[in-house]
Amino acid sequence: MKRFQITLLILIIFTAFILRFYKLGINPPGLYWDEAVFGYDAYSILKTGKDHHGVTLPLFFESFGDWKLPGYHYLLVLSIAVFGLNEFAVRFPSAFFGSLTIIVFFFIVKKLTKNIRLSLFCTFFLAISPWHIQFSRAGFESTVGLFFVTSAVYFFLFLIDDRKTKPRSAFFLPAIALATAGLFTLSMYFYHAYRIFTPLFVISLLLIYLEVVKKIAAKLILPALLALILIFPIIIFTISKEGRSRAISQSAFSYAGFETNRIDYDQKSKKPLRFLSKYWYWPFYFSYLAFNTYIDHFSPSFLFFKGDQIGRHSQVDMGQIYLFEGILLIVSIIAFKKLNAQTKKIMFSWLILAPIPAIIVTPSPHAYRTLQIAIPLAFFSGFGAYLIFSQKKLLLVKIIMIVIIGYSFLTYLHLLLIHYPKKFAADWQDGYKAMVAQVQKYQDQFNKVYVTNINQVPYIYLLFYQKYDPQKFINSGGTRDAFDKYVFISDDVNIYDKALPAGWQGRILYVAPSWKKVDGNFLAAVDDSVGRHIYTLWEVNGQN
Amino acid sequence: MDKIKILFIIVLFSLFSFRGWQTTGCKKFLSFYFNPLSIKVSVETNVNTDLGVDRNISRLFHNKVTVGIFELSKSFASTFQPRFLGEFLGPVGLILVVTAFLEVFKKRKYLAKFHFILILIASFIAIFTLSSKASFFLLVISWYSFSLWGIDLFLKTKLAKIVFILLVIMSFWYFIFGWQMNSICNEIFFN
Repeated sequence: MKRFQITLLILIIFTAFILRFYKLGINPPGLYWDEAVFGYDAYSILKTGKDHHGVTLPLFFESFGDWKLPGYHYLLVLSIAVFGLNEFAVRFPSAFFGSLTIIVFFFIVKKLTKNIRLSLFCTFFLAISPWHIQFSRAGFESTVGLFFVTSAVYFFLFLIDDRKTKPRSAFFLPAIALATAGLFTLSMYFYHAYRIFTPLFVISLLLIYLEVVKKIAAKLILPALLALILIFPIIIFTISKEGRSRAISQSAFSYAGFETNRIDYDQKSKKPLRFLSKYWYWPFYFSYLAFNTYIDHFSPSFLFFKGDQIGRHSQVDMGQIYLFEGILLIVSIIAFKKLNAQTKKIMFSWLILAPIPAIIVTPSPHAYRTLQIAIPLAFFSGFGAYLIFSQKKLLLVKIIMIVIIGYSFLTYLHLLLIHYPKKFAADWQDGYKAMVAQVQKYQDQFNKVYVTNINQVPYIYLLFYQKYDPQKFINSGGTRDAFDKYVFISDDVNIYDKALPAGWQGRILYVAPSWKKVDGNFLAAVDDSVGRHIYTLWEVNGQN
Repeated sequence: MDKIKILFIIVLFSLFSFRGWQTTGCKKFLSFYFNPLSIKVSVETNVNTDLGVDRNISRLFHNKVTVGIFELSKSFASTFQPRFLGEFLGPVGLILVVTAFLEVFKKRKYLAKFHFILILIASFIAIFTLSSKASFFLLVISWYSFSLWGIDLFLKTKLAKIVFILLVIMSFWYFIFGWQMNSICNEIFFN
C-alpha cells in the first residue's frame, strides 16, 4: 500500500469513528427500553453475577415480551465496568464494533479483489452508510453480530487464499478454520436474524469454494465439530418456547390470517374463480407473503427515499442509503462482469440472502433485521464509484459526482444531528431520565411512589438511572409491578379508589401521565428534550 | 422462430391477459401522479423543524431545487417498486424482466436499449398523468413487452424449460392469492 492510500484509509476509519461516536450518549435522545434492560441486566451481572430476574449467568435473557441472545449483555458488562451505567456505556459496544467493521470490510474487499483503490471506495461508502451508522449509534445487537460475520468472512478468505501461497506451520490452517467457525457461531449469539442468515451464508460460501473446501476437508472437521457444539444451545433455544416467542408474536404467517383470506377470496373475488378457494394451501399462501416481503427489501422507496418507517431504524426523511447510490448501483450492475468470479458470487449471495431473516415476521421492510445487506450495498456502491473515478475522461461527471456525494452527506449530517433528536425523541422513550431525576428530587419526603405504568417499562428506568442495587432488587422480590417504595399502576386507575390501601395515612408521590387531572398538589412537570410533556408529579394523600 | 419460444410467448400472453382480466374489478387504480405541491410542503415542514438553525443553512438543505429533485425522483421510482411490478408480472415476469434488463447492457442490443428507454418514458408519462388507469395500462404494456427480451434464458436447456413452466404455475397461484392487488388497486369490487 502506498503512503497516500494508508493516509486515506486512516482518514476513512477516523471519519467512521467520529460518525458513530459523536454525541453518542445524547443522540438518539433518551434510551429505548431494550437498551435500558440490556444495561441494567449487564450492571446486575457485574454486581451480582445474576440478571435482574435473579438468574445466574443466563444463556438467554428475558426481555419485554421476548428473550434476548446473550452476546450483547456480556459485552456490556465490560463497557459498564469501564464507563459506568449510562447511555454511552450501553451504546459503546455497538458503536465500537460498528467502527471496527469498517476496517474488517476494507481487508475483505482487498482480499477478494486485490485492488486497494476499490477497497478504499467500498470502505468509504460503508463508513458513511446511513443504514450502518443508524444501528451503530444505539444499543443494537445486530451491529456487533455483523462485525463477527464480516470478521469470519475475512478469516474464511484468509483460509482459502493463503493456503497454497505461503508456507505455514501445521497448526496454522486448523487455527484459522477454528477462528472462522468460532466467529460465525458467535454472530448467532448476538441477534436473532443471524440464526438464519449465518448458516445460509456459510453454506453459500462453502458452495462457492467447493473445490478448495474438498481439498482441505480433513482440516475442517474439528472446526465444524466445534461450531456444532457451540451452536447446540442456540438450536435448543430456537425450538424452545422462549426462543420462538419473538417469531410467534411477530409472525407474518398466521393460520387465522390464511383462513380469513381464503374465505374472503371465496366470497369476494372474481366470480368464476371463487371455486379455487378449495385449492388454497397454506404453504403456497405463506410463500406468497414471504415473496412479497422479500422483494419489499429491494424497493427504491425503502432504499432511497423513505427508509424503514420505524423512527429508531432510519432517518425516515431519506432512504436507508443515499439517493446518489442508486446511480452507483446501476453502474456496478452494468459492469458486474468486470469483477472476478468469487467476488461476484460472494457479494451477490450476501445481497440476496440478507433479507431472508425478515420474511417470516412483520413489519416489512425491516431495516434492523436486514442490516447485513449494508455490506454488499456498500461494496456495489464503492464499485460503481471506483468505475466512474477510474475513467481517464469524464472529468465533468467526476466533479458533479463529488458535489452530489458531498451535498448528500452534509444533508444526512443535518438530518442526523438537527432533525433526528427533535423528530424522534418519542421513539426513543425520551423523558424517562427527566422523570427519574424529578422522582429522586422528591421521593425522600414520601412513603410511597406511584408511577403510571406505560408498557410495563418505567420500572427499568427507575432501576437504570438510579443505579439501583441489583442485589437489593433481587432479594426483595422486585417485579415490574412493584419494588422498594415504587408501585406501578395502570393509567386508568384512580389513585384514590384503587391504589391506596384502606386507611393508609402515608404521603404519596404520584407520577401521573401528562393528560391526567389529579386532585392533589402539583409538584413538577416532566418534559422530554424537545419540550413534550410526559409526566406530572403530584403529591396526593396526607398533603400539608 | 423456435416453436417452443412461440409456445412460451403464448403461455406468457395468456398469463398476463389473465392478470389484466383480474383488474376489471378495480374501481380506483393507485396513482403515481407527481404533485408539485409536495415540494413546497416538504420544504416548509423541514424548515420549521430547523428552529434555531441559521436560515441560510436551513435553506441550503431544504430548498425547492434539491427537494424538487428528491420528490420527483421519489415519484418516478415509485413506478419501479418491486411489489408493484411483482403484482402484475408475477414471479416469472419479474425474473424475465431482470434477465431482459441485463440484455439491455449487451453490445449491439439496440432494440432492447430502445425498449428500456420506452419504459423510462412511460414511467415519466405515468407520473404526470392524472388518469391512474391510463398510467397503469401504459406501464403494464411496456413492462409486459419488455419481459419478452428475457425469454431466451428459459430456452437454453430442458431444465430451464421445466423451470419456466413451474414459474408460470407459481405465478398463476401468485395472481390468485393476490387478487386484491394492493399495490395496483385502491379499491376492488366484484358483484
